Amino acid sequence: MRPITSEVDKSAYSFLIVDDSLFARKNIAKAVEAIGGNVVGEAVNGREAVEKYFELRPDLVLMDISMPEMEGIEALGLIRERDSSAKVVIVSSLGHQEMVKKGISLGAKHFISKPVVLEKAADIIKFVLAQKG
Amino acid sequence: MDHENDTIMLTEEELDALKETFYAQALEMSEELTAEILSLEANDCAGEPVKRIKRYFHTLKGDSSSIGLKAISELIHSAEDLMAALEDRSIALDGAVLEVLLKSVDEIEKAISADRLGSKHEIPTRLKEDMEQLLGKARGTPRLAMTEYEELVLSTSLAEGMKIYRLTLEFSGDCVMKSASALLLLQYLSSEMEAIRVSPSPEDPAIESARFFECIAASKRPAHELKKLCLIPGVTSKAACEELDAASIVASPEKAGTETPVDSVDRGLDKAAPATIRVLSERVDQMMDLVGELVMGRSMIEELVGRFEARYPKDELVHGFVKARSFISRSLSDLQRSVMSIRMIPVEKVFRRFPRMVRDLSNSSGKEISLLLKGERTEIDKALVDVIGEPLLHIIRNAVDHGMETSADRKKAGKPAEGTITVEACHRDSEIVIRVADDGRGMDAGRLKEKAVSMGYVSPEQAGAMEDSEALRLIFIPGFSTAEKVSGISGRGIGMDIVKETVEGMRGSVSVVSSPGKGTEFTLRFPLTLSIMRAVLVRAGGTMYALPLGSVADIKRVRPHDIDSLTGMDVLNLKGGPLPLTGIDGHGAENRAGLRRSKAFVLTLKHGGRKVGLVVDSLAGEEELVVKAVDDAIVSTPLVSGASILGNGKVVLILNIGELISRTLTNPESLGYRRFERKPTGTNG
Repeated sequence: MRPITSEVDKSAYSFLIVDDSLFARKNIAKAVEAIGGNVVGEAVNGREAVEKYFELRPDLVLMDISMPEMEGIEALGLIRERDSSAKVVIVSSLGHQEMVKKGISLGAKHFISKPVVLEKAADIIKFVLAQKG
Repeated sequence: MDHENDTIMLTEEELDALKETFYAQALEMSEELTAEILSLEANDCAGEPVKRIKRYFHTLKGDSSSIGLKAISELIHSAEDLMAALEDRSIALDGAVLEVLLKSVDEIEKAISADRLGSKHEIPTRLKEDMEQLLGKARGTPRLAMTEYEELVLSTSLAEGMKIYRLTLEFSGDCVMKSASALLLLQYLSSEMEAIRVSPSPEDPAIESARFFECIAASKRPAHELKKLCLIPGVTSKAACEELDAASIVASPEKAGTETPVDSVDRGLDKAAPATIRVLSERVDQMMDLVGELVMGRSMIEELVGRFEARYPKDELVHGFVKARSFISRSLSDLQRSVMSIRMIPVEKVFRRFPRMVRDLSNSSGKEISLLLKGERTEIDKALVDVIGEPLLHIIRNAVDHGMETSADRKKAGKPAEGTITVEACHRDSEIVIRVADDGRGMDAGRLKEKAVSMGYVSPEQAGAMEDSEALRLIFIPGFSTAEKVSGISGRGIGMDIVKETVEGMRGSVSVVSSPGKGTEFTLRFPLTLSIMRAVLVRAGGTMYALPLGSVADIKRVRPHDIDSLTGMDVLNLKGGPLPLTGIDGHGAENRAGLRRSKAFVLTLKHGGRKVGLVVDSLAGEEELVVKAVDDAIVSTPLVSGASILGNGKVVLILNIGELISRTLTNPESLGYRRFERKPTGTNG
């Protein structure tokens, strides 16, 4: 694997990771760490994600799609509705393309497909962080 | 001629008869073709004649290949390509093209006549070469065939000083979910450019296997900047951006120059919103009707393929049919969805009338009321837009008039002086849900019951046994809500019964909850698609009925000992409590008879939070139905919400689940209303 340089670490971007699976959260956190980002919060469902987002105001949210209580897409919608500058990247398995598309039309900035490829995920995160507003 | 290889088993005579039909028809068509080709005009290669020519060629190609005239069908295939090239203007109609087309028709005639006499006709290689040369030329000059709409966007963009680009993007090797990727890309670029045409479209299933993605777009940015914007990790690995010569794209400049239909539209065009196209709604309706017909056709094919499969389980052709059927089925579902989406309009269009009305009403009634609209962007079927305005207006008027207290009363009750009416729309499951809620005084179930008794709708005993939620439904009885006029506002002759009727006319339902002192909430539910629905087919008493799939929660096979009787009403004991049972003709004889037999099915039907079990004799499958309205004069029961024609041509009635449940649970007259009581001891498992 090519070394992932931490081009963005000086400002230490903050991340909220949303996934009902602990393993998945740890896994995606690796991509965040690889670019020198800082995981400031974790949530296990959409409802918690919305609460934590407005409490922590992270630079980027990594949002799983299918979760108990509130699905990621609904949470994404609620977050974007109240904060149109929110940067949310969907994390989804392959079978959920229609949901991903819905997420994009709701303003998701990108998507990472599961199983997460560390290097690709890091590229995507860097790209999204580099975008204005 | 290799007739021997034909897989269709036909006797010699049958084949001969078939071929004779073909010869006669083919020769007739080739005459027509010659005439049509001669009538072609150089400046109009997109009109009706071209379409007719293509149709003739197409029919001839199919027919000749099915009787084994391969050489002819190949020649026609090339001729079709040539026509397509003419149509998209990648080649101009000149002497050479005409010559080749006419010669092709000659050769077709010759080959057919020869085959009729049992001899063989060779197609001259010269013609094939000429044809190839023209087609090569056509491919070499790729001109964009644009739709009228695309041309409009194009000319608007040019007028605004934008440049036109062809973006060719390569999906990155690790790109998964290409449809979503393309959508993401277009989303990113939407602020920088106007996409005129995208191919493949993100909605096209073929995109998943595509390596490249092409976009014709207008932008003010220079090419190298645009190219850079197109590179998104995980989506694209390479991008090329080529500026197109505007003159070469806008086709038939002479047309645009003189009569200027494009120009005039351009001037009148609202620059802020160029991305829409206006279509007469009848045209969309017509399309929807045609889709409906196709769905019916598909049902027929499915029925026939099923029978064919049963009869010839080992035949290879069966497999082919099954594949073709699922292909048609898929495309048709896509088509149906696209047409449906054209018909969808934001509910905003209905809601827009409300603020003004609420303001006027609150002024004239001296009440302070604010209106809160939510979910205005929710898209609903156009047919609904036309119809739901009235019932909603009525519910809102009622809320202002009867529901809301005066500011003084509200203060006394410890509420904010200003009352709020909330109108909210959203999609839930496969339904559109519209809520109208007020925070007014609520409805008094006790008073409703008193009134129902005094008006003779229910007996005092029935009223006594009635739960509050059921009492609220009394307002939907015809004449009930309009009986007592309080003010001029609601007294406009339409009562809650009309609201219910209108809503149910659109296969919807209306329910109401209310708590005294806190407010009232009406919920209207409509199916997302109005004209096509998936249905469960059942048989009861020898008749077939259809039930909307969405309202069937569960299907159980039951035996007589599963059934209990609670104070005269049959129920099925489930974990969650007893499920009241009914037959299709309401209640009584029918379902009892069904239950006497050892085999019966109970379908749990749900609607607006209420459930009943419907007893039927047997299940007859699931089918996509095109809903047709039923004339009230013919079927005069609200239990039937529509009718449809099945794949086998039989007519089936579609049951109105809301009405069926209401009748089972609450209709006092016809059912001899009985209230459930808990069983004393544990028969309940």
